[in-house]
Amino acid sequence: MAFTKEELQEILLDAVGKAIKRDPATLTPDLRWQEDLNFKSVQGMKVCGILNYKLKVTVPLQSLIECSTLQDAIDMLEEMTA
Amino acid sequence: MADLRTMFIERAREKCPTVIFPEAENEVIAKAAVEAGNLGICKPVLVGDAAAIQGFIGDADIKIIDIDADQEAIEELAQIYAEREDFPVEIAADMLRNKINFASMYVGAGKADAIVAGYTCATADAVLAAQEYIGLSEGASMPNAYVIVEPDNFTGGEDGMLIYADPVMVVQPSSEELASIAINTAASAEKLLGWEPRVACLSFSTKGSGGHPDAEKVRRAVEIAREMRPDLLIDGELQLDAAIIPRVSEKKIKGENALKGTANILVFPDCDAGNITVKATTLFANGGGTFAIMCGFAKPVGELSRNSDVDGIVFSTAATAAQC
Repeated sequence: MAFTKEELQEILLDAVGKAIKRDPATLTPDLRWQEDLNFKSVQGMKVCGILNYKLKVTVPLQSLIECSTLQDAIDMLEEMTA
Repeated sequence: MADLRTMFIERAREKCPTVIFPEAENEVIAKAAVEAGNLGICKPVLVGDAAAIQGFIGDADIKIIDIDADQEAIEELAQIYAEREDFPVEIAADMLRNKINFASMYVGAGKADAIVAGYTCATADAVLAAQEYIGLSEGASMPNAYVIVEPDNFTGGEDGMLIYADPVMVVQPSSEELASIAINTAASAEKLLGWEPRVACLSFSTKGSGGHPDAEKVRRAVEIAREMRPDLLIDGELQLDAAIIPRVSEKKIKGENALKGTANILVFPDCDAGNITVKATTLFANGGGTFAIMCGFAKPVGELSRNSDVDGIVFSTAATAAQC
């Protein structure tokens, strides 16, 4: 199933918001996983769980946490769901 | 090597906790779980395809959860997780179709006392699942691992044994993480081995002899650990000899000297130092150190080496169950 970039952004920000318990409205694609969000790999389990369920693809946790910014992750998801 | 096997089995038998094995579709795991049950080490719960598991264990009276066929089991745990984490229940259920996740949540929900995993799955996956679903022990900022060694011709430490932490999991710990490694490991050693922990945080420097940020990192870790656990006997930064040899300790340390060269737990400044020392102890001093014990989780998590045999898995299960 193909998703638009806007849809992928909304799904990712919602997933990240749920994982780090932060309002997704306060998240933007330019945020960096480590430096800005202090994102931990264990939080990635929830993000991957949500992405796998909603996008019907298997998003490897390692690929996700290797992204520098949320935008990088959106770009990766766009490729995975194309 | 001290007879840790007998010690762990005896300690495990005292409680005979429920231990879940998420990789029971593997014959070695299934047979080891049966053996652990027969020895009274634990009450095993096996996760996987029921027909396949029964093919391995025959008519052994052991609980099997076939999560591909038992939707109710998944839904029950998903509900608990969703409520605990304020998370969508349907996505929780989807995540729990993974056997490692399911088994971890089974422990997290209090249905089992411990999990033994890592034989067919990556250790990192087992650790993450345990962290997410079981959680960390009070005060722990992350889990870590340690090994028990018994170098030839060494009579210090604890009857010639030492614990090395962390040689495998936390690669470049910060001061805060080193403090957590010290506290987690001390708590686990107390429970598993009955030791009174005496923790040395190691460095190339002893008490400021080397003015370097790496030594400062270790000094700060000791301060943090003391703030978190004022009752814990811990000192650093210390060189290895000052940590475990009383006469060297006395000679090198002029001021406060909490351990006096009697440390039984050595916290290494990073994974490089810890791992190299484990290998050196094993190769040059016949010191064991071939299996790692994980700690810092809210409930015991046993990690398996991929080349373990049935006997090795029974040993690891006993070490895990002994911590319950």
